[in-house]
Order: sequence, then C-alpha cells, then structure tokens
Amino acid sequence: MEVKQIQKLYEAMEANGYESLELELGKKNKIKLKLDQANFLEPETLYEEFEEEDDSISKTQIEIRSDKVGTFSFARENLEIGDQIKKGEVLGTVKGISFLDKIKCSVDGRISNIAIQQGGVVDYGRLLFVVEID
Amino acid sequence: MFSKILIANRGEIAVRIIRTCKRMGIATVAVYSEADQNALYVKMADEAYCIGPARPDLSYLNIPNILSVAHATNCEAIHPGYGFLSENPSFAEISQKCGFVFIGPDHRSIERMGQKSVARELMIKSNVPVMPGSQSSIDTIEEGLQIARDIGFPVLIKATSGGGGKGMRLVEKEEDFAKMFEMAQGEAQASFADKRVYVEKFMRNPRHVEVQIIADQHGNVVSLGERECSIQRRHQKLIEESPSPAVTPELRKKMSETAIKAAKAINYHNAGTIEFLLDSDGNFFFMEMNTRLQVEHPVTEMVCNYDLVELQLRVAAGEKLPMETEIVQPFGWAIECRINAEDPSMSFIPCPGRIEKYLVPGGPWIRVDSAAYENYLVSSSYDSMVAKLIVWGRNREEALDRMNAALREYEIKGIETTIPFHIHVMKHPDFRSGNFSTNFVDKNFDRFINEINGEKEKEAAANQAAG
Repeated sequence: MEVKQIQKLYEAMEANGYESLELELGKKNKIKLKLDQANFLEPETLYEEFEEEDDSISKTQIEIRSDKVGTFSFARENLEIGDQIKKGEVLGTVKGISFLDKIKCSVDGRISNIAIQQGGVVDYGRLLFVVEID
Repeated sequence: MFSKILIANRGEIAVRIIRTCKRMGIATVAVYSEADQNALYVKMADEAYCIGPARPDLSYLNIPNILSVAHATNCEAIHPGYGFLSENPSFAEISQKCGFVFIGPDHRSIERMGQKSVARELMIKSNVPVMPGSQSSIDTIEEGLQIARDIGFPVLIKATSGGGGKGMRLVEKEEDFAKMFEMAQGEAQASFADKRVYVEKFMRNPRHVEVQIIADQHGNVVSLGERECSIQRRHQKLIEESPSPAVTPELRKKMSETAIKAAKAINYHNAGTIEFLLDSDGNFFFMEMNTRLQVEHPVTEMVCNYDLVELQLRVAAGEKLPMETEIVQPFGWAIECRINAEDPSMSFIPCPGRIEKYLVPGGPWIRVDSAAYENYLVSSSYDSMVAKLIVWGRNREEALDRMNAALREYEIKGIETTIPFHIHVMKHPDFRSGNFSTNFVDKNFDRFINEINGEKEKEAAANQAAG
C-alpha cells in the first residue's frame, strides 16, 4: 500500500468519524490505522465530557450545560456566586415551545460561575453554571 | 414585511436566504448543528443558535428545538429552504399553530402533493396531462397487472409516498410484474413506512423539464418559465438551464398554462415547481410538484430578473405579486453546474474533507452560490454539494462558453469535485447541440472516465517533469 493511499484512508476515517480501522490485504497482511485523539474529537463525545466531571480541567468542579433549547429562568431570584447548593437542587428552567426543562445540580457544592442571565436564550450545549464540588 | 425570520436550514441555501434578507432589512436567525459551528451562514446571520448534534434527526429535523429558537428570539416567520423540513406538512402546520408564518405553501398543499398518487389523481381531475397508468394507489398484483397490460409494457411501479427513485421498479416484461410489484411494495414500506404503490407508463429517454411558478394569497399565479434538468445521474440533477433548448415559445405557453392550472387546482401559494417529462414530439406529462424553493432556482432568477426568495417573503407576508403578466418571458440564457465533493473518476463517490485552497471565478454574469471557503470542512454528515456555479449569456452558446471558462477558473484543492465532469459536458457535441435526454450521463459515462483519467495522468506527468 502506498503512503498516499494510507493518507486517503486517514482522511476518510476522520471525515466519517472512525477512530480506528483494520484492513486485511490478502491472507497475511493486516493493517491497523488509529487516529490520534488530539486530531479528532467527535462533537457528541465532547458534549458528554462536559456534562460529566471533566478530568482534564479539574476534578473539583463540574460544568452544568443545557441539552435543550429555549429561554432560561432562575429558580430563585438571588442566586449568587459562592452560594451553597445541594445535589438535586433545581437551579433554573429552560422553557421551550413545548416543554419546561429543570436544570438540576448533580453534586453538593458551591456555585463558582453563573454563565447565563435571566431570560437569556439557551442553545444546545450552552454553559449555564460551574459548581465547585464540596 | 417581516422584521425577523428564522432559517431552518444550513449550507448554501441558508447563505442565499440571508443575502436577500440583508438587502431587504430583515434580521435573520440561523440554527446549526455542532458540525456546522464554523459554517459561513452561522457567521453571516444576525443571531445563531446550536440546536443539536451533527445527526440531522437530532438537529435540522428537530422540530421542538427549531421552534423553541424561533419563539425565544421573537421571529415572525420561518424559511425552510429545501430538503430537511421544507416538505414536511407537520412542520408547516405546527409552525403556523405556534404563531409563525411558514414561508411556503399551506400544509394541506404540501400533504397532497407529497403523496404522489394523490397528486396524480388531483391532476387527472384538473385535466393536467399525466403519464398513462393507474388513477390512484393499487392494492393487488392482479389489479396492477391489468393496468400494465392496458397501457402496455414497459411500466414503472412507483411508491405512493416515494421520491428520489426509492420504491420504484421498471418492469419490461409481463412475467416479471408480480415479483417487481412485491419488491416495490417492500422497498416502499422500508423507506416510507407506506407500502402503497401505483403503476404508470415508462417513457424511454424523456427530457426532464420543470416549470417554476409563484403564487400569492390573492389567487394570482405566475409562471417564470421552464428549467431543463435532463443532465442527471441516478435521479440527482447535475446541470440545469433556463430556458430549455427543447422548448419553443408555443410549448412554453402550453406548459406554463398547465402549471398554473395545476397550482390553482390546489389553491397553492408561494414558490413551487411542477416537474414534467417531455417526449421528443413535444408531449409533456405531469411527474410531481415540489412545494418549496428548488436547488436550481438561480437559473430562473438570472433569465427572469426576479429574486425568488424576495418573492417568497413578499407573498408569505400577504403582498400581491408585482408582475403584470401570467407568464414571464426569459431574457437570454442561464446555466447552473452543481459542484459536488464527489470524484467523477470513481463513480461519483462522495469525497468529504477539508478545502485547502479555494478560489472562485469572477467576471461579468458569473454567480457562485456557496457556503464554502478556504479551510472549510465538507462534512460527511450532509449532502456533498459544495457550490452552485451559475452563469448568464445572451444566448445558449455564449452561456456555455462562459460556463466553460468559469469552471476552468474555479480552484478547489484538498477534495475531489465534479468540476472535471462539468468541463467535459460543456464541450460535448450532444450537449452543445441541445440534443440530449435523461440518459445522457449513462450513455457517455465511459467516455467521461477515460478522458478524466487521461487528464489526471497528463497532470501527474507534468508535475513530475516540473518537480
């Protein structure tokens, strides 16, 4: 196999979102291609990582993002940076055309960033809060 | 007129719609998937919101998310573009119920025209010529076979809810009918969740000629003439032109009057296209109606001097059509080539990837409708069209020469495109003479491959010699 052909395969893998590919060329020859994670991150994967605790930034905080689209309202008026919050507490709501989504915190902790305003338009994956874990 | 609209689409058509809105002073809201966050239309729109991941069913087909953005941003109307939700009657209906103007026809028109056999029945009732065949859907093999015998083989078995050639079977001989009928039903069920089919006469090597109409909400319907769309591959149009070299002024009048009659039969408003099959004797038959803006609408704009998106916006806002005539006569000749990220030397296999170098052609009467730019990533998640190159000339020959020159000036590096294919077609004697039909690509395909590969070899040899 020529270098150019392998390069083309890499491009096709990247374009189609494959991380690795094994090819059998005849009975004995096998070729295995793997894409470097630094070059390729599937957007969906990225999003999931944001929702979970993001190891690469810090283990002490989580980001709360919206997976719905609509208008944001705070659950209580005077929510401020530094406020103590409990696991399961509703911080706000996203109101779409046919739904009302509650934004809950998945840990006990302290709010370290409020990235949204009352009445702000929230789109898919939008950062809403950062919470320092207790 | 509207002060703010949402564009429920992506790519070049979103760019196209934004351009007209900017000129008219209408604010635009774009919606995009995670794969399109760096798209040109996202940057051009006044506001842009992410509505989901790359998968179309989670983003561009996600009706609650799209309507939620329209609601949250106080949009008055929604332009659906083409593809995605543009011919989804539920989307049109829900949009209206939520208080937005749908920039397109009434949802009932979309619904009726979307069901091919219903549309066919309606056209028969309105005296619009259709291909001989069954009046509506047929349930049994026996019933279908009787109709096939009456109209004579070859016949086509087509899916009632079909499109794009799916659920369609060509039957040459009577003994194959039963098998093909069942296959068509199975494919129709799998593709459209509707196994109903109908039978019509198959025409060998017809031309595909369509008529653009625009209708307001006051009962006025205007024809903007025809488009010739016979250069296709597997039912995908590749080159379109207006007018058609096969259409005389008398035939144009007849086809336009028929298209207007078809539109009036369903109280149609907004832009629509009636597709006809045209035989070599000038007989034409209704094929289907597309209840939206077409990809190839720019060739009509170039010869009629009307901005179709502007007309769509105006009639959707309740204005009357500005034309004083029912049939707009074409001025000069326009032609469009669809530049796709496909390798014509490899059976048009899609070649998504990053555009490393991008240089568009220019000069008088050359128009490029595209969402591409240098470093743009053509995603594998969506269709492979990179650009539409449209040129105008005083006559067909001048238009073809201008297209040929523009194609050679167009530089897209990093991905394979269909530009070499178009260059080949522009100088093909059958194409130049105007004497071609829908079998043109199949008939000449081997010759294309040989020539394209020959040119590639020459280029490689020249590069080696230079390097």
